[in-house]
Amino acid sequence: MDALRQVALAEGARPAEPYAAKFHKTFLFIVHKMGRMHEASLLAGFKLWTLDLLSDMDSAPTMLLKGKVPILPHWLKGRNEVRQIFTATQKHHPAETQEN
Amino acid sequence: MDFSYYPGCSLEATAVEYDSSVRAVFEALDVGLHELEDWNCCGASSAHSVNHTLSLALPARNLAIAQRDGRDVVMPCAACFNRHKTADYTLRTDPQERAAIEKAVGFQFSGAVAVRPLLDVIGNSIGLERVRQRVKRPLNGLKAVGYYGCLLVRPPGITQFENPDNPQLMNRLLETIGAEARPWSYATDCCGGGLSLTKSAVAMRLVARLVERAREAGADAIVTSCPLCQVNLEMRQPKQAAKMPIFYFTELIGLAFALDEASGWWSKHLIDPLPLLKQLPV
Repeated sequence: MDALRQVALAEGARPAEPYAAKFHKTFLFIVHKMGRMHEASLLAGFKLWTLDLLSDMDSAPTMLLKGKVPILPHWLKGRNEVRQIFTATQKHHPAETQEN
Repeated sequence: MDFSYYPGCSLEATAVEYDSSVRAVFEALDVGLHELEDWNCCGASSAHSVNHTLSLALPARNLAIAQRDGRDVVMPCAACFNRHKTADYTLRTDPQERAAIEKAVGFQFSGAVAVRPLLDVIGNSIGLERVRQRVKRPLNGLKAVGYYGCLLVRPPGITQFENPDNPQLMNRLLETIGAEARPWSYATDCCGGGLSLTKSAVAMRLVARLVERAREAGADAIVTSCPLCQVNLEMRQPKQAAKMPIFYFTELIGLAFALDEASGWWSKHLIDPLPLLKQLPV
């Protein structure tokens, strides 16, 4: 399943589930930049990218108030090592991990 | 007994109470837990959906850190465990992939450390007897179902989790701390956590079904070891129906140990478990 998806991406196929494709791209963009996931950035980026700003946000205020979604991200000290991994593996799979 | 610890990104955010309960329980059991220095995200489903080698190399950087520390690494998050175990399995069995991963990460894989899921470490390495000896307040009266989800047990050839079609370790652990583990057939069914943001309607249907089946089994709560399942099972329960609390298994161990830290965990839940806990005989 993953292999088929990767081949389809490599051939430039239009994703059948565009929201899922944008989610994965946003997720990997953040990991590339910061080294770890930052859920507030993921949610904001996903919402902005899909232009779907208001739907399904019921739990977001509660999670913020409960301290379950840190506002500030953690920037990995070794984030350049992580970026190097993205660069090195892009040679094997050129279709993805191009963040933009 | 000492382990390296890879919390994973969720345990710094939506699952902070899981992280807190893991650390508290290990301290109570006098087992060392050493967080990997400067660990990175494993890439989760996103990496393995789009780039196979990236999905192996990201966790391999953490394996390199664990290898340097020389201790088996324990993983509370089922998704992180699955990705790291897959990378570890590939490094052990596929020389061609191994060369590509080692080059991308810049290390030589020795295979000297093991990737271990938290549930297995507590249940089998630390052991149920040691847990039993530390119980101060048995959770008598608590009826719960154990829930593993997908990623802790599948694919069994890689995860090597006990009896993947019908795992029993969570039930044995629940019985060890005095709770009543109710039998049900949905312990490894998918909750739709991977689709929670992108196709929430699917996740809601799967969660509603699981909660309904848990009730039919006579349970008052679902107990899990996966932070993605936990938040999905809390967030996607039907709005109009009565809510079922979802616990991390380490929270219940901490409660049975009568740890002071436990009181700080319940307020983090999206579904308040206190009404249920207050019904239990002390």
